[in-house]
Amino acid sequence: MTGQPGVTHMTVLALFHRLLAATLLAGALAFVLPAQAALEIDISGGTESGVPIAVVPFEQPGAVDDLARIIGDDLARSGLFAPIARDAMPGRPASPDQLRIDDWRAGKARYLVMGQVESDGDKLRTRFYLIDVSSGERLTGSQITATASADRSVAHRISDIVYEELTGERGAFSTRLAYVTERGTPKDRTYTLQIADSDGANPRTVLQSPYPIMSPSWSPDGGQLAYVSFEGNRSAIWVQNLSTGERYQLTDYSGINGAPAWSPRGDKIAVTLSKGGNPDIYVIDLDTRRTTQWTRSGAIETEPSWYPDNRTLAFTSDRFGQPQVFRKAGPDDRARRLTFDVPYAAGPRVSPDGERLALVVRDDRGFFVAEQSLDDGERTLLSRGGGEERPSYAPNGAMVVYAAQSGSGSVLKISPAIGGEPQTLSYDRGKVRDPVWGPFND
Amino acid sequence: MWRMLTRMPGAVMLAVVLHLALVLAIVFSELWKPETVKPSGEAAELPTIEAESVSSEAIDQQAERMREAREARERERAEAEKAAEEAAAARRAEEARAKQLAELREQREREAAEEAERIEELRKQQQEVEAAREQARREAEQARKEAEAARKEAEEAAERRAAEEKARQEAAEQARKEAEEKARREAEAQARKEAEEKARREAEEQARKEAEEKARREAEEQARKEAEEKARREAEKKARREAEEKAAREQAEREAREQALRDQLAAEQQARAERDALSKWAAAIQSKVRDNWQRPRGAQIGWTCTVTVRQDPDGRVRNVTVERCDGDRLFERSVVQAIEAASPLPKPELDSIFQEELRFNFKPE
Repeated sequence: MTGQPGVTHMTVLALFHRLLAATLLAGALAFVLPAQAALEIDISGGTESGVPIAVVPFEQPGAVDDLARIIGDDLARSGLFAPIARDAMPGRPASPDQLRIDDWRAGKARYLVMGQVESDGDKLRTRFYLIDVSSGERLTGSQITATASADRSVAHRISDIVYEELTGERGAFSTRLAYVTERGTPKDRTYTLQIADSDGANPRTVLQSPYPIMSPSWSPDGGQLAYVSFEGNRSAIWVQNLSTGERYQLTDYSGINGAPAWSPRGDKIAVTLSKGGNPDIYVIDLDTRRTTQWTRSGAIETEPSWYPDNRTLAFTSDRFGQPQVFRKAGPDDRARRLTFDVPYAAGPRVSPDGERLALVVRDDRGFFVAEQSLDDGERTLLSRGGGEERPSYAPNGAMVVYAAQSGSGSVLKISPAIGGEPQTLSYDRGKVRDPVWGPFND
Repeated sequence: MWRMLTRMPGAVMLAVVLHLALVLAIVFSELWKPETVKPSGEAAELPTIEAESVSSEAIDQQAERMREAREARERERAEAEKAAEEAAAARRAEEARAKQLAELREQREREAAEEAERIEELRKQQQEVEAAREQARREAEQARKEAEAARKEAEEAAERRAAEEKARQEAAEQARKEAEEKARREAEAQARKEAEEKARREAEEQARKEAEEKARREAEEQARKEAEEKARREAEKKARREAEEKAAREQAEREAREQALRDQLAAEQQARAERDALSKWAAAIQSKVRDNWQRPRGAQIGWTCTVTVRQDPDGRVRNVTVERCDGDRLFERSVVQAIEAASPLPKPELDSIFQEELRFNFKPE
């Protein structure tokens, strides 16, 4: 091989001279290679897909959850990655010295995650590596020590690190979901308020009630939940401390007390009240308990969602007959319509970056979760089924969780915000409703 | 003379004594000359009685001196006659004195007698003196002869000494001369030898030089001849070659014209072929890279990534450089990975169109 580049260079030059000569002789040519400019090739299209990534089973004690599985599922849920099947892996390396990169280059995977877990008493010491298969380069890796019971958290933490390294965006796998379940017969129903990991695992019941529970909302610090409870057969808004379980009633107006929405700074909660005879948007200052009415159109106005600026609300209003999404920057601002072209648009949730809107739209096939750009209004469907509702953004804005009808019941699904196949969180009994994604755990 | 004197003091003394005696005799004869009334020449003849010098020279000197004395007496006599005249004049004045004079005359006569006696005596004495003088003369002659002999002897001795001296000197001179001569001859011989040697060397040198010169000239001549020969041959060769070259050139030009036409056609064909091959190559690369591009979800229309790729002659990707990318990180990574996954890139149909460096523009749509 040595020396051939030089020969090649000469050949290129010779080619150029020949072409030039030919040009001069022929008088005109449509196509001449410039002397130094590289051949330019446009690549467009290609296959849009999740990036193939191999999450090799970790070398770990049997009692520990399969960390590689958790990580692979996390990455898959983001929609950006497509973990390859384990039987397609050419080896089971756990550390770089065991990695035969050429075997992996021949395969599909573009990235590889591998690691080892060591049990040390009641602690787990986990070491992992992220490899760029095409270049063989080690992109990142670290050691994480945690209590043995936190093994899933370790996996989510690794997912976050891998996700951030490859995308440049913060991962949201180490976050929590809150949702409501409904079980039992119509005569004997049990409602619970649940908190689970971002993948639906580790569910914990924070409230159980024979009365309906609705519309949970996270405080920005993740320490509290506001929700609607119908205990005593009348609606009220409650605020519950998650670590202590203590709670208090925020509103107890006659009529509707619903759809609480904690402001991004945590100082206010927007709610829907019908104390004025008509459901309108109010904002309650948590320090002063002062309630400010934001809407008074005479139509139904509900489902408020805060913009990141902490002073603008998106909400649903049927002031034009059918529900549509509007926004208002303050109680005295004029309501501006955000949704057009659809007969039904409701349940808006503003993305954490304030540039997009997740919402439910209805067409002749049913209800769908969609995402709409707040810049140009372009809207894409995130869900596929036709019976979805109540979307909620992950704190990094990359995923949307929502409830979907599933047979006689309903389940939670997560769709990548950029589109792609939704993942269904496992829940095998009853109905799951009103999911809401919690904030980053920091 | 001093030497002679010291050598013969007796002779000298004798000569001196004789001379003194002569002088005394003369003086006494003068002093004792009687005063004659007649101042004729009797007295004058007296001086002829002269002692002859033992040496002719002394005698001559004596004779001279006597002559001078005679002349002096002549002058005195003349003066005396004058004075007698004056005295005659004076006698008259001096009558008184006449008697005295007479007396005096008498006395003088007596004295004259006495004088005559004395003269006789003197004559005898003179004869004796004459004899003595003869004796002296003979002795003087003897002395002279002896002196002469001595002188001669001295002279001879001197001459001998001189001769000896001269001989010695001459011998020395001769020796010196001979030494000089010898030295000269030796010097001459040396000089001659050297001269001869020098001459010989010079001759040899000259001969050598001439030989060399001759050799040089011959060599030059030879070289010149050879050079001329060579030049001639080369000129011939050149002329021949030029002629051949001219023919070849003309042939080549003819062929070149024909070749140019063929080349033109070939170049056009080549260019066409290369254009086609380049298009095919680019299409093949494009296809393979696109097949390997797993474009991540979420890529937005308008995103573009431009990368420069360097490959080796076998199409193996050596280096991917992102020039510009306005997609997100995952998109940029996917572009680099698409290139890497497509390695080795397809090779062109014609090696001549191969390029080491390629440029790709990745766009989602």
